[in-house]
Amino acid sequence: MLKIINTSLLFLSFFTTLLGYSSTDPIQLYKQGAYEESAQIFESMITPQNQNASVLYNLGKIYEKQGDDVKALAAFLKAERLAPRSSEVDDALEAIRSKLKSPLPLPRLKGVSSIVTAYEFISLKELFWMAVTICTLGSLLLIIGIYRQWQLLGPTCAFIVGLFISGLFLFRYLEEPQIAVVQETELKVLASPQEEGGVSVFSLSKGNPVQFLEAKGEWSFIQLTDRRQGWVKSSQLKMY
Amino acid sequence: MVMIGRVLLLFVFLLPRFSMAGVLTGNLDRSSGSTEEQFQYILSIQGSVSGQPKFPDIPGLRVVSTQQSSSMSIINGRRSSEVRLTFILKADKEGTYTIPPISLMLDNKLEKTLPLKLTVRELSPEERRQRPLYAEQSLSKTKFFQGESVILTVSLYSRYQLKELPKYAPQAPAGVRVTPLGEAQSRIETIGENQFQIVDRKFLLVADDIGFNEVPPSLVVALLSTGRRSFFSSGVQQKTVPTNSLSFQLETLPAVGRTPNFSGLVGQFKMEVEVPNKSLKAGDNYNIAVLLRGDGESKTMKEPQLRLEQEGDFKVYKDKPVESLELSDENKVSSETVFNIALVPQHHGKLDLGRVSVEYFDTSSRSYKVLEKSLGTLDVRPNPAMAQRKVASVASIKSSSETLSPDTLKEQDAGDLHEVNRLKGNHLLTQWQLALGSIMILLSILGIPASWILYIVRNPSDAKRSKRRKSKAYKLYLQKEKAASKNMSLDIQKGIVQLQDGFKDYLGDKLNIQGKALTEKDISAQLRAKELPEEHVASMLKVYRDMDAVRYSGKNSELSGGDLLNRTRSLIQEMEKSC
Repeated sequence: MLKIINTSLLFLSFFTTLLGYSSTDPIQLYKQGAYEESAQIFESMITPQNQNASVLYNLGKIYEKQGDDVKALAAFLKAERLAPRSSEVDDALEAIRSKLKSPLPLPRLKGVSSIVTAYEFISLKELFWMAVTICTLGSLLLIIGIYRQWQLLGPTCAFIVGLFISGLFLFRYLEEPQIAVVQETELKVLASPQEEGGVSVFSLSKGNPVQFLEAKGEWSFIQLTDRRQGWVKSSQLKMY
Repeated sequence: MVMIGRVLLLFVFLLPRFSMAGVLTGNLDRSSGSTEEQFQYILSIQGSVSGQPKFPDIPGLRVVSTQQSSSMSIINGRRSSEVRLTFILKADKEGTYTIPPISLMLDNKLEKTLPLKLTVRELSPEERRQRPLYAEQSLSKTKFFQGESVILTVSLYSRYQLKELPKYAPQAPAGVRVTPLGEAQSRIETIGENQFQIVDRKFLLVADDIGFNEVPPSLVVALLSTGRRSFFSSGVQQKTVPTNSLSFQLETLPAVGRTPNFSGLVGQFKMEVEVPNKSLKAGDNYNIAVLLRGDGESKTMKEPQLRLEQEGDFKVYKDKPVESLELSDENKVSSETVFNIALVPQHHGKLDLGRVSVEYFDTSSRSYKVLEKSLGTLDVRPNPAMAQRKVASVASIKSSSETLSPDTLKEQDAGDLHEVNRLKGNHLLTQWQLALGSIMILLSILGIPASWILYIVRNPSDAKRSKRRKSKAYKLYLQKEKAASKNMSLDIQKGIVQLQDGFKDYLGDKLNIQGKALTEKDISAQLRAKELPEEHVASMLKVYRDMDAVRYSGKNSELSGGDLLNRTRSLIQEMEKSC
């Protein structure tokens, strides 16, 4: 009997963890002023594979309260990419950027590629499911149309549009810049990933947004919007 | 030239397999030098190469140009070829650069060069001044505040005759603004024992962002006279001369004493206000000008704070500020910015205009100061047309004169936190979603041709169907004949009906006509169309009539079922041979 109760409790705890619930409500903790604990719970909900704009927004708000503006900016930047239409996230991002007085522009898709991939309007995930839905529907209609001997122009067009959106998704998936934020007050960007005798090519200041290109051991290769590139230690950047 | 090089390279690629094994080497012409020198990295390729060699991206080290040459030699009947790629390199800054190994597939084997180190130093001022053509840059101040205006002077020193004024390209790091000030000034000066032509160009430098403490070397393009002008040459030679780099100390603006009204101005400033002395009616325009004069630029400053006594008294319209920058003799910049503001009185009476103020950071006292002026009062006469209208809402006046500051935004946004799923569909695209979606798209793409093929297989065309029927006709007839033969012994009529149906079906399949609808007339017409001998056609018709006779007269018929069966089969066999 005890075994059954234990197993049920274990299952229940596992199930609630899966659903993202915990015994303590982080929002309540935040309202009570327990920012540290609240941030810890929200941080535990975030992994590199599983991220959520609301959780990131909340984390940004908590870090802002704690005075860690760099982490707040990093969280808001990621939240903005996951929920690009949210005015709350936009306002929070704008406020933290003006607070940090960072004049460097954000690395983003620009011009035609931004317009065509609806970069400012829909998230990557939304674009992906839009492509999958239109492609699948178009294909299903085409298949049914072949057997029923329908006019195939409409389904063919839908399928081609789906394929086109899939192409746009692929382009955006490959080209969308990953934004990191500088954590150091003065960060020297090096020409090569080595500390000894490394040439400093330019400097960055706290809160500067940079585009993360690749990681090599403990080093990260970054790029600014003016195409200047260099190496910094990954621990000197904050990125979600 | 490049084309010829490419053709040669292609020729080398196509060399036969018996050429020597691939060798890849990379060498620098020297391992150290100055920022004003160029270095040569020679990549030597021996063997068949797949892929185009590329010099690796090294921040701070530029590839100025690439040259290519190739050679081929035959020693003791063995052919060997070599392609040499020369990368001309230039370092933007001093330091030690590591050139990583360059990898190439040579004779289907991956070959790599060795990593090389290149130490670059900046020339000392003494070394630079030994040259007949050099450039230098200097700052009017080496320690200054964030947002303060400083003069950057870039000078070209030349003992050669300059054809035209040089072109200047200062390299401003991100967060530092560099704006040209006036025209380039030329003078002649004797330095040591040599006479130089010196051309100075001044720039306004403002560092907005802390963290930058260096101005990288600026580039000056000198246009020198070669003294030889011909049909093919203009007689002008271009030389790019880099300057020294400059380091400076940037101080952040102190947080103490700064109010939210801080305009962003840094320097020393004075304010004047031009208020016209005129009487006007309610609804008329009243233009005031706020003039800011000082030694700093005002491009990024906030507008002056206009504090009206009663906000409902006026509608406020602000014009775009006009800024002019001038270089004073003392290597200082003097700026004048004019803010034009139009006030429209909303009612008559003696209206107080309030005050205008600007908060700036004074660099001499290192503190924040406020410039404030009173605008006085204004006598406004009644306007009968205006009196007819309803008074506009105070809110509209407020919205036209106020902009939302980031702090206001922040205050508005400091609400409660979100519920975890408040922002719908806001999760990151996970790997399994990506995989699932990709499979769906792939299935969609493959599903269309697959279903098309399946449809064609399941629904063959009429021609194919008829061909299949023709080939199976005899087999089907034999099956029906067997059944008819069995029945004939019991009931000749029933057997003959079956035999005739089989015969009709056979002819229908062969002649592509539905068997049951086949008449005697059809049979004769179709058989003649197939160009069968007339006797054969006549025999067919005879058998058909005999079958009819047995079918309808029954046992009374003199014809035997076995005989009819044999005659029919022999006729069909003959037809199989001829069709």
